[in-house]
Amino acid sequence: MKIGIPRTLTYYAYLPLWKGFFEALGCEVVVSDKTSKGILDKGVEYAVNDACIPIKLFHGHVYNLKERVDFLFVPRLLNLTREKTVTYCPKFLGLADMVRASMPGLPPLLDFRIDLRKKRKERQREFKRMATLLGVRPAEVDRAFRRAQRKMSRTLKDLSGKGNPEEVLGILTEDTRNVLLPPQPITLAVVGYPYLLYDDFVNAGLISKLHKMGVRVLTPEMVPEKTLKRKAKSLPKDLFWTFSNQVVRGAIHYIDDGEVDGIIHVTAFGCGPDSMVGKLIELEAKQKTVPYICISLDEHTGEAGVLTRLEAFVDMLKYRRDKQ
Amino acid sequence: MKITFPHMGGVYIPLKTLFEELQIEVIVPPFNNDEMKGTGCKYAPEYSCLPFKLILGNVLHSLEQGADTVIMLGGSGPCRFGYFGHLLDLIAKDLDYRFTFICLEPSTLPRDIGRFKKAAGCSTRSFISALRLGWAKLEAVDTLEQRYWSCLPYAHDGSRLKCMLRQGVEQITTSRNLSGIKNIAGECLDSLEDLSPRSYSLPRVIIVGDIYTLNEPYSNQDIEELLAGRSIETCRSIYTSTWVKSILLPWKRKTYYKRAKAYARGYLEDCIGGFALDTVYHAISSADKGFDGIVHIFPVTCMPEIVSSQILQKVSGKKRIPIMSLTIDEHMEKTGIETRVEAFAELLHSKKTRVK
Repeated sequence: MKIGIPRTLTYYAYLPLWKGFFEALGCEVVVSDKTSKGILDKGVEYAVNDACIPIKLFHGHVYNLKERVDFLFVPRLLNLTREKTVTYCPKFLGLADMVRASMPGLPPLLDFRIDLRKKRKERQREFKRMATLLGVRPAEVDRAFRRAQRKMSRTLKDLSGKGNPEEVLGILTEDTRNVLLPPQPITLAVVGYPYLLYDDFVNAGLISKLHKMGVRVLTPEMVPEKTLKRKAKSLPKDLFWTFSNQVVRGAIHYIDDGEVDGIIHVTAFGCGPDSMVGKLIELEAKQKTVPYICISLDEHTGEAGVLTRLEAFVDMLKYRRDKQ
Repeated sequence: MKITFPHMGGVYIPLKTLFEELQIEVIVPPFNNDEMKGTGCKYAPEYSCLPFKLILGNVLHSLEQGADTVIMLGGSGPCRFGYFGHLLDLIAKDLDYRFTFICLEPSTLPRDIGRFKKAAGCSTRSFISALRLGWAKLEAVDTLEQRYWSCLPYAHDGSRLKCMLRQGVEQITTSRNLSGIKNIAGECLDSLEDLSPRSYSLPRVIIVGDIYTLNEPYSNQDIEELLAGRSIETCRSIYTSTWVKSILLPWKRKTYYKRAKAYARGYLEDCIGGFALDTVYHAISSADKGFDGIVHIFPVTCMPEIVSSQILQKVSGKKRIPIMSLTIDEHMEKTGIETRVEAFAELLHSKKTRVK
């Protein structure tokens, strides 16, 4: 049985979990192609025009997969962290309903709720629904999920302390790449959601551009989970979105740490949670006088535009450092 | 203590009453206008929604007038509203305003109210009676408005009707006893009916969207008035008082969500935060009730409403009901919205006569 997983959104954060889960159930996992102009165009066609680019891309990736698979994996992801007040962006929660409303000819969607805050009984009910769809026993689904969770936590342990976004991506998505890093006089924290940072198409190769300029890049994924949790205390109240919390806490960690020369916030045009995240980072950076820039991406983002802004920012940092 | 709070439609009436009854000095910001929007947009994050920008504008204006306490409702997400207060607090403090911020979080409501009562130095009894008076006013004003919008397109003299409503609201606002409010509202409702005899039927639309945009006429560009001007009867899906009643009381909340989910089945399977489920539910139930059209209005970058706007396309196709989707931001001009309302109204009228 072939299960399709779109190569965007949670793919860049939880692939080991999803993959481990379906492989333990004896299914074959098919991932959509890398983001391209064609995928983006399809996404723009099927998503409502007020949606942000990641959501449009998601529609494109679903379109890319729908002819090739028996089931499409579009979970209603509510909570994976056990933090009580935390969930995901409403657009994530409504993904299955969105694609169902606009795209004809879809294979059956695996849209079960994943909410680790819920009691075992309620989780079991969702597993049961999933099991009948896939034609396996509910107990098997349960066991497969637990096994996948263990795999995911091992992956997360592997992640902390890794010094290079390419490596992080490699571990998360089993996408092996080797990049030779030049000497790095400047260190930058690049914070943003994994599906923006690690998708070369949507960010116009932002990270590799920085590497070429001789910049050492640090991302929120490289901060150990414990440190992130500690940093949560410096906010008046936790944000409601898992990825946003990771970004804000990561950013605050890098700003407080004093290790980085500047901070880049990568965001999608019109991203709701990021309007809050961006301001929080901006205020924190202002207080600690750490240079800060926000780069927002949309379907019209061009290489030249991103490059100009990065170059200006990095040049400014170099001047600043030389002056000191 | 000089307390202030942001606007949302008629919410200032009960809040002003509450604080005045408790003998707390209260600063009510002026009704939303271009100046509020300007201040809000200057300091708010670019991608935040218009409601946040207006709320920030309100609060900054009041702080400038000398308010020293800001009170706001919190929330538990995943709509951004629950974080508005805290972000507003950070932004205003960054601008060097000094004030106390009281956030009423649903999870710690009794404790937060206790803190407020202590700061205000009032007894539980006077607090409750003030709250009851305020609540009665909000309910009465909302009922009046509801009737006003359904009567307006039928009225021979719209300006007289408007005068009646304004008078009624003013009397209710200044009234100090419960039975007085009831009488004023009853009289006003009757005279609204008398001024607008219904000998024929006009197309009827339901207006759905998020609570702030629906209830704040400045942010929805007076959509109801525009539609009424084109002889369309409108019905607002969410009034503040009806929403508070159906959501804040736990026993009502359960049945409300059960009904909403039953209606939305096949379109939106779960509550995803904000007002997405309410929007889909009201759209579908109104289509079933025989409404002639749906107007969906929401601020740019509103996450839950973006999801529901995509789903409403499907509702429109399946239920064969016309829908107009309007996204509002600070750059919206009245002319743009007028053109769209005009076209939509013509479509509804021609459809109605054709059916006849």
